[in-house]
Amino acid sequence: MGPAAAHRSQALLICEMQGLPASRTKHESHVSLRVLSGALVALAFSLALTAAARAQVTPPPAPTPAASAAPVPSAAPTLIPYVIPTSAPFSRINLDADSIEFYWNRYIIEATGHVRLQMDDGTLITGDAFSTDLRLNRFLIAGHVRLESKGVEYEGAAFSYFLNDGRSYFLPILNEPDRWTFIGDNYAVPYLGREIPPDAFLFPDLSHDAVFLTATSAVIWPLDALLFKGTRVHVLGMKAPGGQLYFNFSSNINFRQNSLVGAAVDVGYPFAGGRWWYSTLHARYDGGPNNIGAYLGFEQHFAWDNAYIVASLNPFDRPLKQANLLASDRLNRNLQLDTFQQLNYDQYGWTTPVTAAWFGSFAATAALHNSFVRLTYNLWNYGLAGNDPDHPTNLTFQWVGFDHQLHYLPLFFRLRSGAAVYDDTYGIGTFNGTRYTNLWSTFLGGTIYTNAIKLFNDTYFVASYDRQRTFFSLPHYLDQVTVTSSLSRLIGTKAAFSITYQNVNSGDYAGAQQLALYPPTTPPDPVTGLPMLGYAAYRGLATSRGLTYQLSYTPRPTLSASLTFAHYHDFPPPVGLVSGRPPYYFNADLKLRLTPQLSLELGRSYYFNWYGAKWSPQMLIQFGP
Amino acid sequence: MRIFAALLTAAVLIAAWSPRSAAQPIVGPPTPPPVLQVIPQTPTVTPPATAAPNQVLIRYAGQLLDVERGYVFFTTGDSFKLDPNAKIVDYKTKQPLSRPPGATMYADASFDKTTGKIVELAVSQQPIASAQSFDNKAAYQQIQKFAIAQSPVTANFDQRPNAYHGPPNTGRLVAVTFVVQVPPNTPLTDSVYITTDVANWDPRAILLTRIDALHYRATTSFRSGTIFHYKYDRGSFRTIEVGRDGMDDPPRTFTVREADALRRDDVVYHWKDESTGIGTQNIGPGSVPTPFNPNGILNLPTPPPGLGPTQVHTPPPGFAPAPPGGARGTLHH
Repeated sequence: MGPAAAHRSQALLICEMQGLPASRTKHESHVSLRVLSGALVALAFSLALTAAARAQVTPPPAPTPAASAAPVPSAAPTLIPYVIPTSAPFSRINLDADSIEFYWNRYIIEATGHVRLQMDDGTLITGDAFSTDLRLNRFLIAGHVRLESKGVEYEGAAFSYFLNDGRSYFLPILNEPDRWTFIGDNYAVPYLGREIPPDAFLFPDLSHDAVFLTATSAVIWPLDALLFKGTRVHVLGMKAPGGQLYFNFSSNINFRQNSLVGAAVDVGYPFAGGRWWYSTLHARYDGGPNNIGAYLGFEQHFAWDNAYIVASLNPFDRPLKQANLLASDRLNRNLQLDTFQQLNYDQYGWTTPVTAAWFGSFAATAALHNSFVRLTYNLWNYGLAGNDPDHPTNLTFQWVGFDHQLHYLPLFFRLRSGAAVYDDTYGIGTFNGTRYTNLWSTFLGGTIYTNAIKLFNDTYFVASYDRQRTFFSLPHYLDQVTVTSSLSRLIGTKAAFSITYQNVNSGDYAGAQQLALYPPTTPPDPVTGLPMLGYAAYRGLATSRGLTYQLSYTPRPTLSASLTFAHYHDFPPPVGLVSGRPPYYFNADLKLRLTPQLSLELGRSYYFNWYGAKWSPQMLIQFGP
Repeated sequence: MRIFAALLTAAVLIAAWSPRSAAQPIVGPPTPPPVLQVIPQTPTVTPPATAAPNQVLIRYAGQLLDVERGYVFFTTGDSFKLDPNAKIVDYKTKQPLSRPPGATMYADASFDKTTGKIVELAVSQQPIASAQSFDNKAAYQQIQKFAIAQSPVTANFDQRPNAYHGPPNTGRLVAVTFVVQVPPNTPLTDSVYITTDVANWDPRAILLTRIDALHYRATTSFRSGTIFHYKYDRGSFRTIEVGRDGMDDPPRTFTVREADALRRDDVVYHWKDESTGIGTQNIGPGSVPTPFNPNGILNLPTPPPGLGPTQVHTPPPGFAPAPPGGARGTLHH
């Protein structure tokens, strides 16, 4: 069972134990993406704006009325039956205090002075000091603690909640201090004298950590996210006002889906968010050949256990805009829907766009026994603004088999097949004077490969053979054969060296029509303008050969480096700066961990003066966590 | 324009729909502390204690949870009686405190061995370096017998019935080696990474090095007890692994147990951008280039060695020979 499924089943269990309606779980927010269409490009933005507007008008929750004091439990230990650990009965904590400090590097929040914790199940806890480790998912409040929940009130010295276990530990002061344990949100039944984890009331040692920001209030969604209000970010010894800041630390990978493209520099400002969503404003910069400069982008995320929607508008301060939407929903174990929508338009202010083009892709993937199938539909509409009625489409169906071992040999194979139909009322292409507006194709392919076969000391051999034949309704077929063989050697435990040779042969066969399909031609080189004589012999049969040397070195876990040198020999020859591979290619990549929280990756390629190009356009410099 | 009108109508309808995320109560302005307050009965900080001449003292230093109603609570969870005449002073200056001691402060407590009460409490905002602290089991056992609690301690056999029964996790750094087998059609010059929630799902969090045509390896360190989720990718979420059945599987989970070194072997069956036949292309935000996404950079995969622009619209092959930069691989408009 995966973590998401475990989380879901655990949530249901909580519902059963607490007698809560299932709508209090994540299921309530799970929106099926079957209703998605291209219109959602704009809808996500509307949704974000609406949510933000509502956030402004929603009144604060009413204070919990004072309740009568609970009866003092007897001093005798409470006998309890076997108890299934459960998680916390609440999903949101509102924190207010005189001072709230956030240590980002450790995901720890500390608060002091008039601390007030208000949970969304109505529980109110006040005290003098507060600490929570968001990764460990527990919190501690200490000093003149007062707990109010569902008709009970207690006073004590400290209260600690282990949210993953659904256990809270309390040091009440009655006629004498005591140790109590609560299970779930049933504060009316304290369990006396049970063992308490020895670190339940420990404050973390933060003497070597720096405060990232201070705030006046915070909202915590345990295990998922937090939102600070009235922040001051500590930068270079100063405290800069940061407004409202959102942090997401969920283990749900769907929060990290990304629909923004481009930008050499991107700084995001997550200014709003909740348990299932967040909004980010991006300040971006692009230099390069277009010299775009600085611009703004916006991205909106929605994420659930098995689904996500992420939409962006980039840039939104320039007439030429691009809106993207990515959405996915794994409806059940055997079916997943995906869509990608892109809208490119040229709009000045709120006027009618001058031009607008839309691309939509819809895919459905279904798991079968030992294989899967995928249906994909792509649609282009170049005339959203009424200036081009062309709507090319294509529909593909693919079947992909699992990998299987060939008897008991060190050989494995996988098969694939499918069909596709292309349609364009303006014509896909013209052949022998006939304009084709639609075209069918079917294909069958397979890969056979070895696992790593040990030849001698730490030297391994791997080979693979891939072949695919594609038949088209226009009578011709395409054959592609890829053969790869690799020899590698481990050098100690820290380095490895490999040599790989790959040969790709692709042929387009049309029988008697071969010369009509591929007539001799010498097109001009787009860079030099000279005729490319190498193309004169091209009859639809191409060969690509590549020899790659690679050395990787990892002296320690915090440092890894790799060097790659490749030599390609292709026919027809590459077209400089337009397509194809450079004859010689060298790449170096270095990943270095600077601190436990910060790593640096450097990488760049060299093209050996190929059409004047020496270095790759961008050098990879990326700081990461 | 009709499509834009439809978009606008749909936007209004969705805006009227109330998602849970939008309807969640929003925290209001900070509210004052509750009216009902516990009146501390801590002895005032000024009266100096007059220890009896024959009084035998035991010292213990630790962090405070609370000082209230005649009791001192340490972060061990233990509470001790505070002598009514106890002396409460600043640890460094030995002068009376300007404010009552409380949570997060540190204290050096002196216990009367005969009564078990604290007769002197020297308080500091900074940790007190003392051998007589919680870390010193012998010192702690000396004063633990003075702890006050109404209920005897009972064991919790039900706390974790299925708990791991191996050696306890101490938080030591454990070297974890990941070895992954990638699909045979993985581009030869691509790098393979691990993205993990520990690194906030940075798609380039851990770089793996190639050891042969099918295998990549990385060794990194985690503290024992760490439970993390991870996936393999080739530098971005557009090139992340997908399951054997072609679908987005939940991330893999790994628990770092107490050991000198651990090894994890995984298999990646498919990449998300993997072409599995015909007519497929790497559909994603960067598929259609604009001046704002001229090439895959920063958050998109670096294109393979060629310098050309990202391939856009792939019409089926078989038509007029593709002139350089011509119809094949480009928009035909």
